Amino acid sequence: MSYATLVPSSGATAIARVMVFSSLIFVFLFFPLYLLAYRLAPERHRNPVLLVSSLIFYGWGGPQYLVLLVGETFIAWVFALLMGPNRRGARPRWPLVTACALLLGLLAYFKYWGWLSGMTLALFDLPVFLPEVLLPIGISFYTFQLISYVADVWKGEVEVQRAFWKLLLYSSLFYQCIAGPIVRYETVATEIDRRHASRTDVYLGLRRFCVGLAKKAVLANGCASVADTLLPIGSEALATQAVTGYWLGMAFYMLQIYLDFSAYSDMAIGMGRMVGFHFLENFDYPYISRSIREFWHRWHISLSTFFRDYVYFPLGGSRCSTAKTIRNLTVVWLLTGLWHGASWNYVLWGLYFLAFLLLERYVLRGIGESWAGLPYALIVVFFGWVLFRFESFAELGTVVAGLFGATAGGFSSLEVQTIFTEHLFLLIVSIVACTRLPHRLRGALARIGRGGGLGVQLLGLEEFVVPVFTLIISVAALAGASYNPFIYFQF
Amino acid sequence: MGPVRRRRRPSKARRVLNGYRDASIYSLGALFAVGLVCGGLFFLRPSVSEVEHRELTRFPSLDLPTFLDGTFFSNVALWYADTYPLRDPLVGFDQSLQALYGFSGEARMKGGNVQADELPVAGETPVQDEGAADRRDVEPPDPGELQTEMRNQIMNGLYVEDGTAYSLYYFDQGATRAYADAINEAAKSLEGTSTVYSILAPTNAGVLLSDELQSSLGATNQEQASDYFYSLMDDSVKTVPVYQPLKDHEDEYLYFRTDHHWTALGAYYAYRSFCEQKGIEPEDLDTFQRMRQKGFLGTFYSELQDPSLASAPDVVSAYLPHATNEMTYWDSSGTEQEGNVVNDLSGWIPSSYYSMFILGDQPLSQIDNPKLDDGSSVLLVKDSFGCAFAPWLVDHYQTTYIIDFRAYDGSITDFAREHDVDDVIFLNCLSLAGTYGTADTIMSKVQAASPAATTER
Repeated sequence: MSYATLVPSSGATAIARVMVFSSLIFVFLFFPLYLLAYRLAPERHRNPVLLVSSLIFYGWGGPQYLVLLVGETFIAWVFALLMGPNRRGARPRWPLVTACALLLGLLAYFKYWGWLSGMTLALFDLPVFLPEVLLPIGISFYTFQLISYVADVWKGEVEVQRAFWKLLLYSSLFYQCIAGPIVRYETVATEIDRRHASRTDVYLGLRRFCVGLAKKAVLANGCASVADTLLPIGSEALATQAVTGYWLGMAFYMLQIYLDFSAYSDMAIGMGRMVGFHFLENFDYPYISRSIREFWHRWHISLSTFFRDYVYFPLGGSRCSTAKTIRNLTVVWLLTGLWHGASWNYVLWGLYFLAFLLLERYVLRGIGESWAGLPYALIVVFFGWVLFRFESFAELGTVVAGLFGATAGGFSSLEVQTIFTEHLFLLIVSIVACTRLPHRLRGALARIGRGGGLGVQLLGLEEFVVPVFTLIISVAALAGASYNPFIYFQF
Repeated sequence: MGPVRRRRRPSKARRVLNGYRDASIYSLGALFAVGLVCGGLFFLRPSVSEVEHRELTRFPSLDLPTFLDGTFFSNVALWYADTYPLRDPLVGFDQSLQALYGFSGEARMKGGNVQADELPVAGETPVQDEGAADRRDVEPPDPGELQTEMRNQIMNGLYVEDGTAYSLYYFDQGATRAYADAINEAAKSLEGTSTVYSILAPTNAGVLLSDELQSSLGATNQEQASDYFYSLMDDSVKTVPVYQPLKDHEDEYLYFRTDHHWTALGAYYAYRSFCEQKGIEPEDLDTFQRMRQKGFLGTFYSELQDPSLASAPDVVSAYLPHATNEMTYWDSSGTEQEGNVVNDLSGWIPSSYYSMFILGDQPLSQIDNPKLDDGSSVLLVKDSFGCAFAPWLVDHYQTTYIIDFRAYDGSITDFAREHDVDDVIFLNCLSLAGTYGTADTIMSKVQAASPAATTER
């Protein structure tokens, strides 16, 4: 019997509701009102406007969860203050340890309690207390942000923030609070107090937001609907798909998960840019990687650098014996897997990547420079997403078997062919959106534009059209889809 | 990050570029403003969507628990999007956008990832069916679940070609047995009171698509399936063959192209077969007065929104019974209403034209034939396929009762006994008959000691 069948779903999948960026109420109500208030407010009132907007945004998903967000921020604030003023070398360790223990304890309770107690129930038949814990939205993100804050204060890398409300602004900032990127306090420490948005910043921020919105509302949601049609989770139909249906469905899922998550980062970075925050990039075309090591340098960068800086390096990183390096990597990848969800398949998913990273480190040393690296990395990542998608091991087995031909559904079907031809252009555009091609085209246009004349008119037209067009098609797509949650909210 | 690097003094090219960028910023600002204002026009918010045949989300009511856990707010968001004043044009724009996601081949398939059970030879009990569970005590699904199950049964597996959608049928051994058991139960319960007939109407795919095509799509042959259904029924149930009579006329307009129902003509051939089984003479088609409604776009169109279907809408033709066109019915609230057997629906929305026949699925209807006083009566227990069939019965009985088994609350068999009904006809679409929902619902309303409350209408 697999654990998956015993795990209560309350811990991992019951997610609090939230206002998503890709909803009409956000785009046509919250966002314009917030922009208006922010623009009209005198400079000294802009941070309060931002804070109030963020709390409303977060509270929209259930005011009760605000208590947790404010409480965690309070913990980080208090213990950072207790670390004392920046006297060199004489900083006590206990506030850091206590703060981390409290923050991680809360994360563990809300995210993993259901899963863990389900396991003890299964293994020891212990009737444990099973709370109806809803996973508070964004807890994985803001907890990590706050940990980075206390750790950096302790290390003396950032100044302690004396104003509680400013730290709350950092942790609750609605751009990134619920789905990342995990913005380090040091990135925004100075910009909280002093920031300037030039006209270029406003344009580029708006553009990034609109492009991100279209990436989510048009491309990611389009891919999601195909993936869900072909590979319906929790349905008998999952077992009777044709071989081509499994491959096509997983290909669309692979596109969806990148487009969805990176779109969220695009929108967050864009909204920050509009008002003068400069967040770090979170994705760097991960699907053009030539090794798994490279993939993880390009995928969800704010998470991998978090684990690198706060777990891997403190453990000794790779500047130690081979055995210790492997131990350190194992810890990091177990945690990476667990961070994504309270279920065994995520643990397996983390260990799966660990295996390939070790392989690359000690066996396939040159793969990253070879042409074969690209298909290799794509295939490994593809099967990684199979592990990621199916929390039930039974379903996972069904799909893996199906991908290799063991299915009652035959090789192909008219349904799969229909879905393929009717989404062919969506597929092509989505693949292109994962590459550098759009960026390069814009670069080429910019070079032509530098010459002046017709070239600059052409570039100008592109600069005018892209944000407006992407906003219009996004709104149409949002109106067309009534149900539209972000899949990355689980974490 | 900008493609053009900053320079100390803006060049002409830079100024041009900035002009375009400013224009973009102002246009976006204007779009957001229009969207904001439009969303604030509460009086323009619709409450019903005619395109989608549904009531739109209502503004949620506020209470503390839903406020605290966020349900209230998420429902507000749902309401905001669902009733957004510009929603219909936006949805239309989105649909034309989605048409650009790819291209359609000549034939397409929506859904159909269903593994049909293997059809046993009629009369033989398949191995897995031995000792099949007695479902007499099974709680039937609630009406909402039943509707969903039926919708899935019809809509999962649509084959589209030449502007016509076809609903494929996938055989389910257990559900078939359960349906036959329910009909047998009714016959047993009504033994000595009424004669029980079973009519199973194939879907259009079964009659109009070739066997080879259906089998290549994983669908079950509906002729063999009907035979198998009937073979499971007791001798006391009079079974009416429908498949072959329809097949004999497959070039005629037996089924709609944009809707899953049969036409009055399709139902007419089933009626002729019923007359043959009962030993009476059917009325000749030419003798009826006809009413027509053009521009019908039915359930298949609602489901698929396929432009090839819209390019050739259906025509609903209905034949008025000779004896009377008056009908009394009891609506879902139990209120007695007057209507017609065949109704003029001019002015109704085109997707509802199938309701020309007996005003669609009413819980209970009664038609009194003024030209007969022999006390003869029939009870038609039906799903929506029965609507087009019912008018054909009117001329043959003094009283025609019609019960939609999903909507009628009481015991069907008690009703037949109380009204001293001669013939009880169970008419279901073959595909819908092959679901547990249908079988269990009928079973719950025909048992000798019926658990369902008797409702006196």
